[in-house]
Amino acid sequence: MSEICERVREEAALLGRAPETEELREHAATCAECSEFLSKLAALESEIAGLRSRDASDELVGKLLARPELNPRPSFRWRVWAMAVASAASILFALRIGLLYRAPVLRPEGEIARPYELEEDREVSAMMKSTRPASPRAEEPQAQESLGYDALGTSDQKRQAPADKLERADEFKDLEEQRAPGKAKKEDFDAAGGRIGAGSLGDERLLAKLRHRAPVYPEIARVARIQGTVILEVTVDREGNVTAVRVVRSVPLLDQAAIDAVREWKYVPSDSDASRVFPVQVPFILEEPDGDEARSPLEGLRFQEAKGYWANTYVPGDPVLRSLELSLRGTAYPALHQAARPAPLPLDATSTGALSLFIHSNRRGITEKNRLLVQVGIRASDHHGRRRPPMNIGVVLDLPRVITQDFASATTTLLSSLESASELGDRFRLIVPGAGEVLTPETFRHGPLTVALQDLYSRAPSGSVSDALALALEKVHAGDDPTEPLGTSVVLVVTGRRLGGELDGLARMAQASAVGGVSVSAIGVGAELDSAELDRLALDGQGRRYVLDSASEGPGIIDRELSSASRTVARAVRLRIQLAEGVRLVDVLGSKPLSARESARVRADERVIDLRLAKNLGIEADRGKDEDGIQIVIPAFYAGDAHSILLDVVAEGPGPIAEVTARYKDLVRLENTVSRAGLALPRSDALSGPLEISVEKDRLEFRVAEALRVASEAVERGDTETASQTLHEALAFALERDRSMLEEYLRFFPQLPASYLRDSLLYASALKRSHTAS
Amino acid sequence: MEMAAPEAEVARDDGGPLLAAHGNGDREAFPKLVQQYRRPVYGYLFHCGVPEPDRDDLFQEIFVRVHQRARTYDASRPLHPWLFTVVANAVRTYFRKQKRRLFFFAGPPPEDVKDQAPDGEALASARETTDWLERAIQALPFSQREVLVLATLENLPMNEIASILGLPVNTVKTQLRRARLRLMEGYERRTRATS
Repeated sequence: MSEICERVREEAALLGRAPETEELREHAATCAECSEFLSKLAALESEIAGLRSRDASDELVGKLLARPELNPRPSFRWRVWAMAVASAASILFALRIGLLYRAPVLRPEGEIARPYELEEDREVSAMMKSTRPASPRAEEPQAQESLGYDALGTSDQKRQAPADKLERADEFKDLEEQRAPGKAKKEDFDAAGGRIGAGSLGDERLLAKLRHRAPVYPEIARVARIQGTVILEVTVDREGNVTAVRVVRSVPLLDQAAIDAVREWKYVPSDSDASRVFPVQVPFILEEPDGDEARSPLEGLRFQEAKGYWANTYVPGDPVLRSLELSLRGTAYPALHQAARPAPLPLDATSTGALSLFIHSNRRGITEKNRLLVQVGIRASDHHGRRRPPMNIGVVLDLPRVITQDFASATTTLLSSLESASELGDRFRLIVPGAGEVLTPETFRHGPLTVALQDLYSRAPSGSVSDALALALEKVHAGDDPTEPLGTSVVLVVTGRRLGGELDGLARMAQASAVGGVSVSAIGVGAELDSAELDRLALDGQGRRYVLDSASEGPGIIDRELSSASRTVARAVRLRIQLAEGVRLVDVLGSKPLSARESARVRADERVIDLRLAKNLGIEADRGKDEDGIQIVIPAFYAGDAHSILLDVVAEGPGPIAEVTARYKDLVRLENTVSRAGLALPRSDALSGPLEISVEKDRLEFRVAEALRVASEAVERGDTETASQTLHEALAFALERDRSMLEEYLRFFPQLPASYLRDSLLYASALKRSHTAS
Repeated sequence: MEMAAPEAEVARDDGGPLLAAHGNGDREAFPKLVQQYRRPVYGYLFHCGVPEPDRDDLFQEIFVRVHQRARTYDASRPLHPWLFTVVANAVRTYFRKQKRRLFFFAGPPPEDVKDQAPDGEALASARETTDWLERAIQALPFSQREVLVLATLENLPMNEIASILGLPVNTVKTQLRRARLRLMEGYERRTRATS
């Protein structure tokens, strides 16, 4: 080895990488021996960097923290201070009680705050003070004392005799007993931190709590392992009741629980009329998970094969849901299911294609064999495809008795817009009360439309709008192609007047039609309208409601109606989820493996869509082959929708977990598209972030939906006990917004007839599984 | 192109305020501090070759010492070097005592007990490179070992290591260079043997 090689090694060994000296670098570039050394050094360095970082066992850390010598001790100087202040406090207290109160003292009601809570309150207030120099509290009379520790003294004169005041004396006694240690700590903090000066204490020293309620640890925060201290600013009136709470420092998911608890606290009443404002700390500390959940989450698990076809769980505009909705409507019972909100999925929509694909887990990383929740999310684009499916639309034009110029021009623009938006395959027709089907799909063109409208406006025929709607529904239903996506068959009712007595009949027809797959939308023209009537019609007809004030709004309304009716952005979505080696499937939540016969039907349906789109839109047929992994086929996916599939898996350790592929017919770009996403977890025990929390939330929402479904099935069997018990159990893990719904169900349980309850629970369950994108 | 300076220190979540709060009587501060440093401290003990039963004792010992010396800590300075001075000294004291004990009970060792050359056979038999590397590091002479662990696994700059160990910077550099060359020797042997 030459001398220069030696120098290369020396410098590289010092730096842990290639030398920096120019001469040595040039040599290393040409010398084979040196470059081999350097590449090996780089490999070694990366091995060193990847050395498992060893950690002490939790048991060892626990043992350490339990050692008695580790308790913090205030310095000697401050201990002297504390003793001095404590003795001064007791002397003054004794004096005051002795001189002013000779009446017997009564015990106050409620629980007295434990001393450490008092300390917490004070400590934050000190910190808060440092950031808010001009505290309004400083102006209050109590705060003006120079000694600053006995604010009670000043108001003593006012507190003579009355019995209710005497009760308070004892409250103060409790307070006084707590004060000494608290005081010492306060002083210690102030001086050590050097943040606030002596004598600047506000009236937060009166914050003895008469009633304390510990916050409830929210389930979602517990599973997501979120802990921290929420700081609240609390306003207390003179009676000691908490009147307002504001979050000063938020900890995600914990704020509400803190607020709920603090609202029930009660403080010692004050003599000042002014309300008191001060900060309060509410710490949330996770206990070590106990019981079998923590110790053996992996015991007794049964695994399933992660392959074959699984049931699709995305069912938009589910006909079952629609018939349930119909049976639930129009009863006098409380519509409890309306409190069910779909779980929002925080997934971004794609800006180019039709669908975006996500894969997340409820852990940011793992360090050992672990049970995981993997969420596969699909989010559709918010924009419908430029290519909408062929539409089947019947327009019912209800003419007022007197046709104004405004009405004529507005409706002309509206219908011309519809005409000009028509595309190959569309079937539009115009039906007018008293005149029947004025334009058929064959004659719904610019020329005939203009002529027909002019004729109608001059003739102003009158007739029953119900008959016209019935005719329109009949024609549109006859032309409805059930294989087209839901919403492509619509009846538009255009009216310029109040419907009055006819409304009930129209709404009933609209409702029946909507269940059968043809929705009814209402368009009001002019100012003579009752928009509540239009709402009713559109709601019952599962359509939309528009009001046309001027002719210029016509094209926009038509555009919206057509786009919302053609929301399909992707068809024949085939999801394939492959688990990495060493990752085993416990379950796909809510889904089940399909039998051979069911699989064959799914494949056949997929093939039909494949061929039809190839024929109609020229998207090449590409299906017919089975793939490995879990396969789920979704026939159609709608704009603005989101869906998630939750997989319960066990991973052997950090590394790749799963890969998901979505193969679909993109109706936005009219092509076959494949999206891929993969999930790998690093070796880490980092706490959950927002993504991981949203996966956990999804799981909890899913569990609530399951509980509702199980309860509904139990009601169906006549087993109301199981049903109410299931809902009770769900209360334990439900998120805030679901909890109130469950409580309502439990409250109304005995009063509702079984058939209504069954439908309502099932509806709520279905609604909870229909995601919205947030 | 010129690379960034190797000593560019990784921004560290320093526990200084926690120790200061602990000194001032905050009950929650010390457990937090322990949580933050349990891994680096334990990792240092492990890689420096403190054997199993003693490692746990020493780990506790170190944090008790940190607690006792909390008042001597200057809150305006970063905690990491301060804490690692305590750790490094504890480990050195441990090995010193260990040597003395061996001297009294088993006669003087042929040379530094821990300063034996890597046992070629045992090392070669290690299946995983990580296993091999852990053992190879533990087989380095102690003075090289502590420098290497601080420089690579703890990512500390030379001057900080020098002040933690109370050594001149040049000595630290020499030890680090020797440590790496020694590891490289073993690594090259190993890769030749396995290929």
